[in-house]
Formats: sequence, structure tokens, C-alpha cells
Amino acid sequence: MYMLSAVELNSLFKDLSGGVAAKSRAVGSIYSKLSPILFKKMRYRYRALSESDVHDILQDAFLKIYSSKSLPKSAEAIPSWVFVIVENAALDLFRKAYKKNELDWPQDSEGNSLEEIEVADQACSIASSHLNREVEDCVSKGMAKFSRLHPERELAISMSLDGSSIAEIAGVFRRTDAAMKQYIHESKKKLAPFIEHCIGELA
Amino acid sequence: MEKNLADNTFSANQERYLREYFAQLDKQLGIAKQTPECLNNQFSRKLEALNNKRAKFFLEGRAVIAALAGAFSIGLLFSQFVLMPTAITTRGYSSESSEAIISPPKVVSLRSESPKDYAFKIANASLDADVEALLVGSGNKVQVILHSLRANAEEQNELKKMLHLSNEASGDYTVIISPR
Repeated sequence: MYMLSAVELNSLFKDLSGGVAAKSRAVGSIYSKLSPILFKKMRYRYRALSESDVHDILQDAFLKIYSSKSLPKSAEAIPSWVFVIVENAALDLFRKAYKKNELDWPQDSEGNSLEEIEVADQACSIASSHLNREVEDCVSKGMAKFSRLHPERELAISMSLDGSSIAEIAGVFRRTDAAMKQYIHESKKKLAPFIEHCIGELA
Repeated sequence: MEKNLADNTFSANQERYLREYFAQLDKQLGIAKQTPECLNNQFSRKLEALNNKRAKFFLEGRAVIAALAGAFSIGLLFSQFVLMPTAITTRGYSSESSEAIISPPKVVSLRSESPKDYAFKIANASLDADVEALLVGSGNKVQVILHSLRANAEEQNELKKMLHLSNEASGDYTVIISPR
């Protein structure tokens, strides 16, 4: 999905240590390649803000890479280095945006009982002609509850279902491959009670 | 046989509904696989603006230094038009002690295309070398009076090189810079 080839990584690594023009070119390239997955991660978590607000925050966070005096330890470390800088910078900006708009800060509240969670107004309604509409609505409502409790787990499941490799997902979550595999499995187990009544018994 | 933990939680039918849900969710949230060109362009503009801001700050910093250097040179230029020479010091120097500057024991004569500029270079070097210096302009010549040079003081070597003195030079010097 977002994985960069060894050639691309080596070129970026060289440019990041280069002059102003080279570094500028590298940061632009890094933004182009890595912003989609970081946007997805942030959008899943910070849904109260508008799409354009999240894009602005993400861009401002990417600019920190250019201003940063730190460099990645190796070409292979570039994606994880980028994720750390961008996510840390974005966190401050998101906090300010939520405070400015007087929004409740999103919590990943593991362990809350289902009865305490109201059905989210922004339940995504899926409407596909080839699927059962009632089942779709049921799944949407269940997913809305789940996403309010576990936005990060929802992202992990989403990435695992859209064809991302374990290595790619592990990079985004900054875990080892084995830990990521376990996390995805546990996330699906946690999701099951929210939708099993919609689609019958799980495998 | 080890279970593939990530694969068999949901049935194929269940996964189908979930995949459709996520496809629609990503569409609703504006999530795309690739960065749209408009966003790439927007980011490039922000990067350029950041570059320009840094360059402007750097240039403004240099302008401040140039202005300070200019302020010194105005003082020297003024001295060429008055009867009494104007003294510019690199250290706080009281007017009472200025009488003690008469006839220091050693004189160095130099020639330069621009005596004023060279005098400033010597004054800068004396600051780095922790040497007291007094600049006196009179006519088209500039005198730099240096106090208490120390023999073999490493930090003073650069200054002595400018004056064509050996590292062993010590004491007070008057450097007279004339135009070529």
C-alpha cells in the first residue's frame, strides 16, 4: 500500500541529508507517498473534525520533517521515522483543534459495556445492491458502536481486509509483525459481538 | 499446525459485508489510496513558503550585522571631517585613560586598498583574541592601538598574522594603516 522500494528509500535517505533543494524534494516525495495511510489513521480516530481540517493538520505535521534536525538512522527506517515525527506533531495540533471547537477528545475506552454506548449518529450506511440492506444497516450500527470504543482496532481490521500486508500494518501501528498479527486477531474477536447477530454465527 | 490467527475469525460472507462497510466508510471519510494532485500542490506551496520564510530571516539577520558594521564606519567617516580625531573602542575605555595612549612603544605600518575596512577586520580579530583595541581615524589613515598582546597566546595568533607579527610578539602596538 504505502511501502517504498529500496531504491526509493535510498534516494530519499540521500536527499534528506542534502542541501535545501534536495531535502525539500525528499519531504515532498515523502508526503505524497505516506500521507494517504497517515490520513486514514488520523481520520479513523479524529472523525469529529472535517476532512479539510485533518488534511491541513497532517500537512503542517509533515512540514515538521523539513524543520526537524533529526535524520533517520537508515534508509529502511524512513517510514517509521516519518510516522513518529508526524504523529507527535499532529497530536498537538489535533488537541488544539478539538479544544478550539469544544469537542470531546476521542478515547479508546477498552472495556466499556455495550449498554453504555449509544448508537452513533454518524453510522455509515452502506448501500450495495448486491447485499442484503437490513444486514448492511445492522452491520453499520454495530460498527459505529465498535468504532467509538476502539477506533484503532477498527483501523487494523480495515487494513487487514483491504489487502495490506502484516508488515505494512505493523509499520503504521509501530509494532512487530507477530504483535500486529495478534492484535488483529484480538480486534476481530472484540468486533464479533457487535455484528454476529447481523450475519449469523461467526466462523 | 499453527493457526493463521488473522484469517479465520469471520466467514467469507461476514467478511464481504465488512469489506463493503469499510469501502463505504473510507469513501465517506475522504480516504484515498493515493494523494490527490491538488493536495501535493498545496503541500509544495507550504514547503516553499517555509523555505522563503527561512531565507528572509537569514537575510534580515545579515542586514542587521551589515547595519552595525555601517554604524562603526559612519563614526570613522565623520572623524575625517573634524579637526580632532574620533576614537572608537572595542572595549569600554574612559576618557581619562585616553591620554595614556600617547606614543605606544611599537609601531606597525601597513598599507591597504581600504584602510577603514582593514581596521575593522583588525578590530574584529582583536575581539576574538581578547585584546583591547582603540581605532582612531585621521585623514585618510586609520590607527589601531592594541594593548597588552601576549607572547605565544594561541588565541592571538590570527591577529598577529594580520599585523605581520610573530607569535612571540607582546606588549602594546600602534598599527597605522595607510592607503596604497
